[in-house]
Amino acid sequence: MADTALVIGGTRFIGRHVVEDLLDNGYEVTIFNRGNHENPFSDVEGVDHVEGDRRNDTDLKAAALSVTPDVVIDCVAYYPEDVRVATDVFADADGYVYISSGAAYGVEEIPKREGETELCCCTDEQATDDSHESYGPRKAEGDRAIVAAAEDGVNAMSVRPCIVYGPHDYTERLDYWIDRVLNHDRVVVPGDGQNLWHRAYAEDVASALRIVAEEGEPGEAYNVGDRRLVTMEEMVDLIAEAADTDVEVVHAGERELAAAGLAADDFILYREYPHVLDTNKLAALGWESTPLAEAMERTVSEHRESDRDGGEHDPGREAEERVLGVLDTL
Amino acid sequence: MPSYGTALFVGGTRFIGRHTVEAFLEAGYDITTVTRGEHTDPFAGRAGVTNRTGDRTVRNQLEAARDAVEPDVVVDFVGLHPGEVREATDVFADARYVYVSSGSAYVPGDVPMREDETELHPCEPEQEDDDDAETYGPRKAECDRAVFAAAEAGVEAMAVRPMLVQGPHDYTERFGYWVNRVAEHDEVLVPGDGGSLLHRVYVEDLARALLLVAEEGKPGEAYNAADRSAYSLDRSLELIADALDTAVTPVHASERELAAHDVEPSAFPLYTPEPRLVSTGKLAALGWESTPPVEYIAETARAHVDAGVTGPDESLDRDTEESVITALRAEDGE
Repeated sequence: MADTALVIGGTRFIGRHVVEDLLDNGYEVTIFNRGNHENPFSDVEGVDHVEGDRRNDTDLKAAALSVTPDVVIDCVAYYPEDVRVATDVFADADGYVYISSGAAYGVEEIPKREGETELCCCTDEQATDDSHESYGPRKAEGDRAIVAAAEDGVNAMSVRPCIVYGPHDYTERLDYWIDRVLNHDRVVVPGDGQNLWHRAYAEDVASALRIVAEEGEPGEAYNVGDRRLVTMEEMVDLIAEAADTDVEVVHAGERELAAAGLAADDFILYREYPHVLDTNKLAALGWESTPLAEAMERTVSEHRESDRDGGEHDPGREAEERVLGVLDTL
Repeated sequence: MPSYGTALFVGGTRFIGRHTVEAFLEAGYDITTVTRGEHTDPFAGRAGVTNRTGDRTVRNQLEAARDAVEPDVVVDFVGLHPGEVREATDVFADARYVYVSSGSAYVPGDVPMREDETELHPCEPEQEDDDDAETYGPRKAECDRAVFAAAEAGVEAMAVRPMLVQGPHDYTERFGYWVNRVAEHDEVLVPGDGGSLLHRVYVEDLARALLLVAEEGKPGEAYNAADRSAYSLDRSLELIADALDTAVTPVHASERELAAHDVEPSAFPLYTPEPRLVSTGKLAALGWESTPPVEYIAETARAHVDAGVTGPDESLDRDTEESVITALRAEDGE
């Protein structure tokens, strides 16, 4: 009999890749969510849907009873309490994996390493609020709930992704850059181009979650990110290669940006201090990441079919043109 | 832990070798250093350390040192040409041999660079014997391949690839440039946005790495040696300022702003236009740990100030730096 997997949340982005990865690896999959988004697997054999709210304990218990999953992948635990409840409800699973975040790390070290780099603290107030500022603390507290559950004998693990990109990415962060490269010959990249913000290809995050569910050590957290990082400039070049087009990257320093009323962090995926995750612990479980060119090709090709343009992250092409115009004259 | 009693160091009593002597002494070794005698021996009169004058490029001088010392462990600090490493692994075929290679052996580009995944530079036969800075990486890579070949022939030979080495007695003065700037000035010119990432290694941690690989390393393997935690150029300045109990304001300048004053980013020591990071997991798996940067930078900064270090001769002079800062500040309207 095939193993059964329950995917909590997620028919939109990461969860969608998780379902596909599980199917490819012979699992029978049940998706559990509120049904607020269209279910891309409604006609796919081997994928059931149970409707319910993961923040409603009764719903979650009902799902556990009807599915009795071997493996649980929790894509939407945003509060520590969610993790405490889920590790209790799924205490008998062979593997419960919580999607935490690289944001759980509380100090800027390069690289950030499981078990070494300090995590964010989380106050009681932060544990229940839903602000962007408390995201890291809440994710960190969720990780601590995993450790506690494992101490009680639950096969619970955490996975900490950095910035996830790939097909169906509704955050549209990379879409902004793809759109720029597809539509313009010259593109402003803030700083000297070497800005580093570790990214993780969505399909690799999906395989990481399955591998950790199968092979991970209870109570442990595993970073996930591309085995090879690229700088912001290399990312733009990779997009251009994948799109089979050319682009001129124009570096702009803080004064050159300020002349057009811009700052470096107006550009999405620019981060003031480098964010790098150590990925050796996950790799030691046998996980590998997709070659960057291939990952980018799939990402760009799906972008072309979508209607996403990253417009919400746009610092304004007019301002960008002003920067480009000034830099032309130098 | 295996214990070996006698170590022979080829070269190096100035910086890395000097710290490595201390690490081996502490571990109970009798050490003989073989140097050409061009620099003062800082260990003259120290119990447990003997200096022999000898030229590593002359085979029979290496053989004479071997026969006199009968070393269990050899650390080679000055193998700059593949022929020298081939010779040394042959002469010291019965010892455990550690070659001090370099992160420059890698073809740059991978972040992070990994021992068994990232490509090494190829090395043309005509590059093997030259002394140009441009062929340094290829020669170090070929030396590593000589180590691997020796291991295949049964020699217990290993390579260690340090990144940029920092610490007291660093005669290259690259880190010293920044220490001097922070110690003497409030505003310091920094290329780019300050995020430049060049992986460093504290010299005492490197010394312990060499000892560890000598004792526990696997023949035919290479090990990166770099801080477990890397940091940006701006962060370096903050750490120095903290250590010297002062404050610093980095003034960032783009390549165009520098070019307007005929300054190249390469005039700044430790600046790299692309990140240079290595994976350190392989060495850590042998049990190696590194000193927190905040600790060793404090010690190093104070040592450089005491020694009056000002930076490499070819680095940016303060007059030019000040004229760039003044021009940028005028633009900032300050």
